[in-house]
Amino acid sequence: MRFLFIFTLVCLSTILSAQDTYFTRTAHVHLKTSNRLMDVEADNYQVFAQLDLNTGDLSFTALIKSFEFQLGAANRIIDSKALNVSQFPKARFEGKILNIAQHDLSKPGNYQVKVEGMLQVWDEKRKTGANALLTVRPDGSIAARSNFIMIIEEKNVKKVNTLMREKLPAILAIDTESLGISRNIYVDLDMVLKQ
Amino acid sequence: MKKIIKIIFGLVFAAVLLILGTWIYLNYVPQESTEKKKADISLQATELYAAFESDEAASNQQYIGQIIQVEGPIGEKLMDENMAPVIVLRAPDAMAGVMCTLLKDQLATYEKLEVGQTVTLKGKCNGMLMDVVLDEGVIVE
Repeated sequence: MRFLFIFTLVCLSTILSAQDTYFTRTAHVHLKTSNRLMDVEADNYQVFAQLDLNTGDLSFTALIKSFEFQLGAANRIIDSKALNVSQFPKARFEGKILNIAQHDLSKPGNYQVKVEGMLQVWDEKRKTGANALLTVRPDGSIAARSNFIMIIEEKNVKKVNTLMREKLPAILAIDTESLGISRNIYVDLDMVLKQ
Repeated sequence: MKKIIKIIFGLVFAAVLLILGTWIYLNYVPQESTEKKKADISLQATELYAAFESDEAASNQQYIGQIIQVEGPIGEKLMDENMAPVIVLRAPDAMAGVMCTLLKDQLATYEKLEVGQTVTLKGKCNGMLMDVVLDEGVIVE
């Protein structure tokens, strides 16, 4: 009897905690960086994001190959079979909403929250913090928006710029220091999470 | 004197052509559509998902960047933040499967499809998140 009671309790708590988990397969990340000649911008609409309202745990994962660059040449490079990303195919953020306890997210409305966590791109892990706006909609879904600056290591900037130099036709004689990316990458994130 | 002017004009013209060609190449040279690309691999959606689930690192090596044709039942239809149609191929009782973002010109065909219907899609494999992710997809049948 006691076993049955504990089993029911465990099942109930699992179900209740699952009900507070929101996710989306199609979050959107917009990246913008610049060089001496122009802005380099890219979008990714295939981002998986998950939010646990009980714990405030927030994570999102994006595939490198899913980025669509506005610069056609960069797009062709990322799309090409020759670009092997299989060692680090994902960019990942795992963090927490720090002030989730201050808000009652069961009610529709706008909530300003603070997020902190670890962002991993390639082999580089960096502690990242940002403000985000959560909008609880009347249908129960949660829209989330945030923007922050990601500063990447010089070695990874060089990695991207070297890649562009290798993949672009030599006849173009492009200085990738002028055409490549800079260390500061502006990130915009928006998503609609559902249960 | 006239000859020197002609040479200078020729050089300037060549430089302008080179800059213009570079600019067009960088920005506007179109990519071949998935519709015209031949599939590298054809398999069932469940097989592709099982391959990634059992060994993601090996599947990344094998499938990322490949044009894959998959067949399976439609588990979910949705629109992404770019208003592009998305199909998730998975069994009704499964949480995950193969997600394919379709090209926007597939919208009319997409709207005729129903959840539960078996469909064949072709797209570029980008890796695995919750599902195996295909991009630039087209509906084959």
